[in-house]
Amino acid sequence: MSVRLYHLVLAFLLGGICSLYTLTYAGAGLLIWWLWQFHRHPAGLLLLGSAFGVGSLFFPLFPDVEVKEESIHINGRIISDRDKTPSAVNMLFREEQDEQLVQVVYLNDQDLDVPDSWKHGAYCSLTGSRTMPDQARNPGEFDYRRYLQKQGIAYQVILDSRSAMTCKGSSLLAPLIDWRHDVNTFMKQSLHPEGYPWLAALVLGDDKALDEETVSLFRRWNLSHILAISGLHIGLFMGAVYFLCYRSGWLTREHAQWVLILLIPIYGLVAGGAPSVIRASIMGTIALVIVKFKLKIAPTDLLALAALTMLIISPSIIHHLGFQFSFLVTFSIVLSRPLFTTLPSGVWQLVSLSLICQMAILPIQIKEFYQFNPLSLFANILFVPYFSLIVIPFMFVIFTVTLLYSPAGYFLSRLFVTVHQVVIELFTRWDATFQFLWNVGEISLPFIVLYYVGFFQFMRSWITQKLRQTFLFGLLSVCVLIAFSLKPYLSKYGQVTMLDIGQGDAFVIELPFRKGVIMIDAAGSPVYSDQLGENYVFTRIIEPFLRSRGITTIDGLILSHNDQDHSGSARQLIEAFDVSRVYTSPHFGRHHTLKKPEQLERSAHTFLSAGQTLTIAGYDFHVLHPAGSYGNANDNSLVLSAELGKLNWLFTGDISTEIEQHILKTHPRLKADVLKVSHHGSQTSTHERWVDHLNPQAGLISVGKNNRYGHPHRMVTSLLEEKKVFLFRTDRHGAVQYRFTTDSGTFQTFLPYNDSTK
Amino acid sequence: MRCLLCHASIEQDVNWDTVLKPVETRVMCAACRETLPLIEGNVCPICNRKMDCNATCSDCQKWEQSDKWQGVLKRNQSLYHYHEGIQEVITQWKYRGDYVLVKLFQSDIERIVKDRRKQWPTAVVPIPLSSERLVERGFNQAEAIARLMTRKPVHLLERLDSEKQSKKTRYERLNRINPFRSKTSVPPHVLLVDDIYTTGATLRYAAKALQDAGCLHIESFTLIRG
Repeated sequence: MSVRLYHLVLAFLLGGICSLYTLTYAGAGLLIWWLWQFHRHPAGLLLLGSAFGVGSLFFPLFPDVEVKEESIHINGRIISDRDKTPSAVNMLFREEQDEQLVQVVYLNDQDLDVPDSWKHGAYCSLTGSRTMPDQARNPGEFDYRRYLQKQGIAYQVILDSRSAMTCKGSSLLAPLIDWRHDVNTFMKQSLHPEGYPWLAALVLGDDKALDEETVSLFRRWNLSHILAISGLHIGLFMGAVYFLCYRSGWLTREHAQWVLILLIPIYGLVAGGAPSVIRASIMGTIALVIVKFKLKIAPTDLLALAALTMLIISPSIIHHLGFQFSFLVTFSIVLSRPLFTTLPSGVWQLVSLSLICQMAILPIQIKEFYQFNPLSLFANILFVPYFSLIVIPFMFVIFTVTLLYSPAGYFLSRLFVTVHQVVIELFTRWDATFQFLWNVGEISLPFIVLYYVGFFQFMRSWITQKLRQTFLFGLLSVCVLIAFSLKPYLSKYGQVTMLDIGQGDAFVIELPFRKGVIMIDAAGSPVYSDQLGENYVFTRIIEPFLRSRGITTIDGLILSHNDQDHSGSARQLIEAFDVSRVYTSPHFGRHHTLKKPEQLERSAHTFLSAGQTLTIAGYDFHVLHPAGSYGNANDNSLVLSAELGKLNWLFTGDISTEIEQHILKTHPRLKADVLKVSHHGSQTSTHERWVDHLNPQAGLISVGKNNRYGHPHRMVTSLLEEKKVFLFRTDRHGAVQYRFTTDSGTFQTFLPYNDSTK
Repeated sequence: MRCLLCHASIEQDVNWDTVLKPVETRVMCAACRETLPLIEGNVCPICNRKMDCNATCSDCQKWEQSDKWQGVLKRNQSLYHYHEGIQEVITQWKYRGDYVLVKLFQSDIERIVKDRRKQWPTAVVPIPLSSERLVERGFNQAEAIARLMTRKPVHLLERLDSEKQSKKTRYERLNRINPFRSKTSVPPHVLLVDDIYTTGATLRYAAKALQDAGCLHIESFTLIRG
């Protein structure tokens, strides 16, 4: 037979990927390649084509369906473990009537435990409010709604209280899941508080106890795979159990194998059931069963069997990042095996293994996080052996010892913490020294496909020992990424983005050919936004947007005035990005959000006053206001006029009608094509005379959806509409962008425009 | 899958190069592959014998000095070196009738045919067996090779005697009546095919017969250069 199982599963998967991401040309290219390779094997070709076709139809597309928000009563079964976050408990629920997948959310403000009856597999009856989270409102922002939809979740139900859901019964797995929770609690109580989070993450697959600092440190260095339980853990686990049962003379080889066949799936469930764990458990179990029955299976087919099993059980897992990473890396390693035998030493094997793994997932990683650290290769070479040879085995020892006699476990965990803290401390220092993040940006699909073609040819040449080609194709893969990074520098398009950060202002101006990036205001999170986290505006909106655009340097950060909703993210911006210069008015005042004055010193700070012109990369920003102090922060806002894409823009901060009159007096000939409507559309600004005089075509209102101030005021919006000013509002349109060249430009909204009538 | 020669199981590892290609039907294990060493490096430009430098070997010089044989066979190309291991394979194939072993040579033959596509004459003519010998062996080994090279081997020759070449001395082989007879209508360029080139006498007699019938350019291909 000319095809094997892995061929078909691969065709099936690639068919799915090509249809999900509408990669028509890539799919056609692949089929032509197979046609060429298999032209002498018509049966194989037919099978491949069929698998590809089935794959392209198999995976659901999950269209964005509007969910009607209302109170509902449903019955069904809990089909997942309880996922506890600091603010809520989430569960997957299979609704009985329409068989829809539902996420049940219990917001536990008081950190109460959920009722014991909410078990896996329990049949429940619940009342709650049906909802679905908002879609992303800005480019680069994480789309939680899409994320849920891709898992096949039709809607969320928010429970008002513990009594809103009553359950009875449970599945066979429930005792195991409960045991996992109990063991987790027991470990937390027994172990050293610094040691417990590592054990929870590395043995029980629960990384919530690790502090965010560590998690983000590991992510920056592409080491997250260590913190997630993977095939490595399962392998070590298998080795340890086998060693204990067989080498100790306790059981025969045959019996030890049976013990493993039973234990691996159980451990897979206890370890949290992440895709990598399931993959490794399935592969381990099948491999052992096959050995038992004296059969043979090639590693590629084993892997294919695991993937197929998981995809048939839950097709939406194809969107799961963990699934993608796990299979890509494992498949790459399996295909590279002949290579490792040709390499001279263990060090070289480790280096190439690490390189191959990193390269295999690089574009997906960039697509997700927009950046990567080229030096993470070395971090992996150091930390993978440290964790797999020392930390993880030791964790299993601690785990076992603690179950038997907890004080000994405490002692061991203290011992571990003493050593491990030094390592993490050194790593943190290293991290501070080698911050070479390459910010590629939100890489587009054609570049990803191109990268993978280059990577594939790179590996092919390497394995066939064609070193010159290997080098060239390696270079090609890197060049694909470089080319994408350079794209904005070669593009004649610039863009002005009014980010939808809620109630507040943040404008990002990217000049054509990326000659400069200017920000006007950088709002922070509202003070009362504790549920979303205190820095969410920066970490979830401003930073992802800039990273997705491949921006690392901001040539000018202009802060109109000193208010949380205009300058609240300035400090984080200066810390995380290379901000060349900060511009404020002299009456800006002591910046309460820039708590440490030295933060401002990192970037040069320049005052701007009326009459001055700020020139960045040939683009002029005329300062119209303030000439002096006008008493309050809003009236001291910087007012700037600039020409971008043949339109005159007027950025007004939060000035009131008095200042508007004052500016009209001092600048009688002032016109504006695009007016930033002052103070989020408050009625204290935007006087009729101001609009008449400026005669704008478009008005930008940066305002929070359902904000507590009632902005924008109806008087202002009806005035502007009456004057035929085209209104762009972040509360209706999400982020608003103006894409321009030197001669012209067009506005576009991030949310579909027909949503605006809501 | 098992090795055709030693029947050991053959593990096929998929790697980056083979992953998107059809499963290669391998017929030999790596160890048995060693028994079929390809001819590489310096060879005699006429008979393909392995040499220290690219000079014409003494045998060929003798052939070319003789008026009768000069230029009859322009060039011979062979695949493998002769040695004891390969002799066993050939014995099993040719004399003990293990016809399926022809698959051992298939990929190498296909490769060389692809490489020489432009240089070689298109008419592939296997050296025939006498009818007695064909009955005895059940198949013509030259024919089997030719069938791997082309879909339509051309049968231009007929063999008259039935004596085995391998039982004769060099002198006897060189001085006798031509055992081959050619058809009268022949193409101008011909590629003769046989299993082994030992002295080159068989191929030259066949070539001579073709030349007499009007062939202008005759080359040969053999599996082994003895």
